[in-house]
Amino acid sequence: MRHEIPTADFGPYGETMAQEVKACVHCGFCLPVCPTYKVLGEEMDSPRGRIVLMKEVLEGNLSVEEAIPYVDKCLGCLACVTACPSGVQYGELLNPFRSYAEEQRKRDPLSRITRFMLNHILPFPKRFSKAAALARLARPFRPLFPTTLRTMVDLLPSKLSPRSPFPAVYPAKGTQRARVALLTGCAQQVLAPQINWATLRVLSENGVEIVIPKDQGCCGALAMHGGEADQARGLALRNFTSFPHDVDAVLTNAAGCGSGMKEYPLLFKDLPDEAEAHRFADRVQDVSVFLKDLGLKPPPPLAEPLRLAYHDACHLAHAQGVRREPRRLLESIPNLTLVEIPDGETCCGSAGTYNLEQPEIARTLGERKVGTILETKVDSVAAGNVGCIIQIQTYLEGRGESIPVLHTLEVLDRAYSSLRMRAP
Amino acid sequence: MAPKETNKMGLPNLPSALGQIYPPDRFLTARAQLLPYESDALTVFRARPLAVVLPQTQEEVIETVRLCHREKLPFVARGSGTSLSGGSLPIEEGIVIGLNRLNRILELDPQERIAVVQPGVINLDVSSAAAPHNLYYAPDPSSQSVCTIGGNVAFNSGGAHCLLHGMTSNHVLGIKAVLPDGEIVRLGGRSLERIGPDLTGFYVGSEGLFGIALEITLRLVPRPETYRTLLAAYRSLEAAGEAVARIVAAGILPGAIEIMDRLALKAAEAAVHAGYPEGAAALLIVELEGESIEVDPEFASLQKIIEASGSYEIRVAQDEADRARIWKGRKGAFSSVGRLSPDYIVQDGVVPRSRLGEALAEIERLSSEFDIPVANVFHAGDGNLHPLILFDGNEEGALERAEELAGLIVRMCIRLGGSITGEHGIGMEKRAYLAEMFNRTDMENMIRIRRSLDPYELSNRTKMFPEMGEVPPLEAKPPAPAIGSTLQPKTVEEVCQSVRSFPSLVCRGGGSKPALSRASQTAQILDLSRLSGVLEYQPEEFTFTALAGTAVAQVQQILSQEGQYLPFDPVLAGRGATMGGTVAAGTSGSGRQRHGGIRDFLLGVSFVNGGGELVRGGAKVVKNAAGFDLPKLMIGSLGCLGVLVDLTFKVFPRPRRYVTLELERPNLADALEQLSRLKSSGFNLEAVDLEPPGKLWVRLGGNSETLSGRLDRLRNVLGRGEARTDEEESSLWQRATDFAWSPAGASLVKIPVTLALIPSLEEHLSQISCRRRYCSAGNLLWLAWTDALERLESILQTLGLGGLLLDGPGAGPFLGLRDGQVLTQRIKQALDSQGRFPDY
Repeated sequence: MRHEIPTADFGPYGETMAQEVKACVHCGFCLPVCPTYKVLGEEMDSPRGRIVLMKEVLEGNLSVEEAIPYVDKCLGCLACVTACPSGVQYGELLNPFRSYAEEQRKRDPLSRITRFMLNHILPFPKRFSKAAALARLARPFRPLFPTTLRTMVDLLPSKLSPRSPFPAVYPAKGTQRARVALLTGCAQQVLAPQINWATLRVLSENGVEIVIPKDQGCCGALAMHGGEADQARGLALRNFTSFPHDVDAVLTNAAGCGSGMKEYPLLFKDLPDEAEAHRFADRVQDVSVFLKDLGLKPPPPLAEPLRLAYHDACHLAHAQGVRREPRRLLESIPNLTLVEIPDGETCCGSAGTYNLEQPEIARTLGERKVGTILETKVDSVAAGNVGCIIQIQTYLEGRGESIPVLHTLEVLDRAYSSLRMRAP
Repeated sequence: MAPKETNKMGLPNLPSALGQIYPPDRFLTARAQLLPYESDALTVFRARPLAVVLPQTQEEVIETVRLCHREKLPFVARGSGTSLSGGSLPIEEGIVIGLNRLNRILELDPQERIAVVQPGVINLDVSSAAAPHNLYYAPDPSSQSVCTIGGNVAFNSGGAHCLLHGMTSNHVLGIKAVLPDGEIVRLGGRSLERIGPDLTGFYVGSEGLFGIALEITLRLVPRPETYRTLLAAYRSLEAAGEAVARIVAAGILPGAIEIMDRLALKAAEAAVHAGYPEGAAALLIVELEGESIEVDPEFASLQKIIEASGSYEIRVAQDEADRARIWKGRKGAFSSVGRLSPDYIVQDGVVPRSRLGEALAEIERLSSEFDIPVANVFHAGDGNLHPLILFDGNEEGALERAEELAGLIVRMCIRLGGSITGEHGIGMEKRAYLAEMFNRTDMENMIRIRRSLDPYELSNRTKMFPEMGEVPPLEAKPPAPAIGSTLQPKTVEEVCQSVRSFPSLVCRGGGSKPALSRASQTAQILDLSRLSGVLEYQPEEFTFTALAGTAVAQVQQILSQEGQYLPFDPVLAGRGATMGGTVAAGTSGSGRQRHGGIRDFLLGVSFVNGGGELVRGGAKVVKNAAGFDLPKLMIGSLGCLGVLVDLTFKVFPRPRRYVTLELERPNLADALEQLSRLKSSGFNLEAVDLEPPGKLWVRLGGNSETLSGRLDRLRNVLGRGEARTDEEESSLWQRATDFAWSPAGASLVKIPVTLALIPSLEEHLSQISCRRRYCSAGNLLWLAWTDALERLESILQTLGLGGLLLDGPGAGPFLGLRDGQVLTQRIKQALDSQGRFPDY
């Protein structure tokens, strides 16, 4: 589309954002795949419409205040990128725009509290642990809370497992085939620490030695996608220094983190650490891709046949193009039947912290996702992202269903566990 | 029009009553809400409406249109806003009515093979819903994953499979619409056949000028048993074009033939990574579809033709995934040029296929001359070009130069005898060129029709028609018999003179349908049998044009010499039926089963209106979306709206051989069951007739090599029966189309039906002694009625059916129920205000 964006006014991101506006030809192929367009049915809440609004703001024809409610409702799921024939990299317009907008807008008190919690508590496992404990105590008072806080409380799992510290190095079992570093994540460590342990065990079983840097922290994806670019950069720099260079890859088992870290080059555009950002991002891989490329040690059958639905996390499927690898891994487990979820590429509503900031839409999407899952009549669900797992779990429980929702690596771990039990 | 109250920008105030229909979240007036609606896919145009409303029910739409009519507020309907001609561009002094929330499929009947949908249903979703029944909705514009049926109806959208399947109008059987003045009309129905003017066909492609379609009845077709798709790379566009000519000359009728040029390929490959062959100057995609037993040998022939055509790389799709990949690049081609250029204008002209090479060479020459890159993607099978003119809107003067180049291409299409638009419609973009494709009289007639429905031009104002200045109503001149005016004209000019000279005329062709050409105390017969002769016939283009009085038998003979035929199988050829009379009566025969009826083959008409003006509609090429579909209006119009003088048809290759299976089933229920099974079988059948209670004739046509295999397969489904061949077989059908089975003195009546209605109809008819025959697998009944007509009238009324009397006594030709009379009356006011022609 034609535009008159004064790119110089927006620093290094001016050109980036303008480029994506230029690439859009307003064809509308993105509309049918956009979850908010499906739910809200109005042009302002579609990728095509949001591109117009962001363009108008950058051109100075529209205020941030007027446009921002619609940009806020964007999930950042990038389903539009998958559908776009023109190759618009929508995320490269959205995220810099959100940073720009954050500087310009005024937020109401509740919104500021929410964002404080998301930016200063969630990324730090020790703080988050304490906050989560407090929140669980406050559960009986939930009907009094405003929607956002209530949703946060609702999303907490009923039990928080105790956290054990990670060793500096987790050894490979048998002949070593590779050596990697693992990002342990932030919220995941509190909400679902078992995912990391399952990951370590599965990698080890496959002959991979894992280094777990002690000084690592949150990857900064939540901050990056939420318009807090400076905070994101701070978190990224910390990880640049704490991750070793002599590993084959930097692995993550969280879709959101993987996609966030691959955006580091954009985060550091025209800044001194840009080269380092490229180097780091090039080494990042989702653990499912790594294992697929390495060649998975054939897992033994599960104890009982299992019908399993694999849910595509948006930040794996759309943001990273990772669809095949997790499926191949799961299919290699004997007596596991993989089932496709109808309308599978539509976001579950978790979308990072979207389910906290836009609870109504997140609920509609969560219920839709669970509806389509239940149509498949599976025994279990697997996904490659902790946010999705919690969202789907919450809405399944809301329907009175107790189907387990596991991480892909947890399913593999269970398959291998019978080996461990049989080992002398 | 009284001046409206205006706000400080000089624009009218919104009526407050609008806020009573819509809650605030569906009544958008804030700047941030209106900005995204300012444009559709033709981004060179932008306009901000006063408001956008988002109805959720049909009732809200009707209320809104009625309010707009009361308040003289212009409105623009919008689906997904994907129009490439600016068809849903808002109007500054009006509102946008967004229909995307009316997205329910109201009914899907796999037995009747229809779906009734709301206008906001996405095109592809219809096929997805039909898929479990092995059916699909054939029109497949490249934007089908996002465009809506409402938009498809407004613009008569096409797609890659139009040569074989036709356009949207060939797949719409009925429409319930709200006219611009708020009147509700119901057009058509569920049958493939109809009586009276084809108002449904006329509504499709009216570009939103006739109000808003609320419920649309769509035809579903069985998924072909197999698709065989190949792509071939060429070092030049000429070579690719030559290959297409050879395919057509071999009598092969593909489902789709597409060509992309180097630049378009580059973009599509970058978008989709289909692995298209590198370095191709042109890529040809050919797809055959149908039953394996026919398609497989045909595909082998196709491969030989391609291999001999100079392609340097040929790939055959091995499975559905391959096929999908080939098409993905083609369907995303327009949007993918966004990778090459920030802006583009896509043209949509049509040229006769044999002149494609010439057209492309000219486009290349213009592109060099203007120094503007043009990527070409086109439907080589039907001559529909899509030059994508690439430019950067931020460059000074680039848009203007691109538009100038676009204009020259459009003019070239007219010059080569084609059309200015094959499927995107006129919209905003090509208004000026409509007046170059049609003359002043043609334009005035279309505008009069428009104004008869929408005198204030509220419905999609500014679209389709350029500024025309003063367009007076049709002249109310009294008849003035001139010297030499005749009731047996031999030329078109004589016809015009006759209409001007005589106060009341009834047309007659060959007199084969006496009830339709009866003189009366006031009306004189205008005998058109001397207005005869074939004007143009281009077998390689699949088109021919003849004067209206030409005998059907003569046309059939000429066509068969070239191995072609009229697929709609006109009736009464042996009794002197003429082409004009066939169209005016709308009488297709049993053979319409395979490829369709008159509406699927009539491309263009010239007719004389009640003022003695010669009016042209449609075009001479197989694909055209320019102007109102006057050809469809004329079908079944019985000479009430105008005197047909010449007609242009699409024709197809004729099957080389036929065989008919004749069998006797024990009772009606069983016979209907067989018809049902035949429908679901997906077999290609030339005719399926039933004489109740249980006599069936099923006709196969095709190549000798495959015919006996297909006959065996048919027998497996239906039972042994008698196989008729050669002369015995052809005279069997000859007698059928001449109604030899109808006893002397009987009234011959045409009744459109559906399979589901036959049992109740038969309950009434079986009690009366009347010969009858159901054709087209139960979509059409021919009845030889010997009882009092009042009795038939009463039966038809009870069952909600309509009938057309072809022969027999009666006050008028129509029996039972008719659709859309409000619409017909208004149109008649525009075309025959004086009432020169009958008013049945």
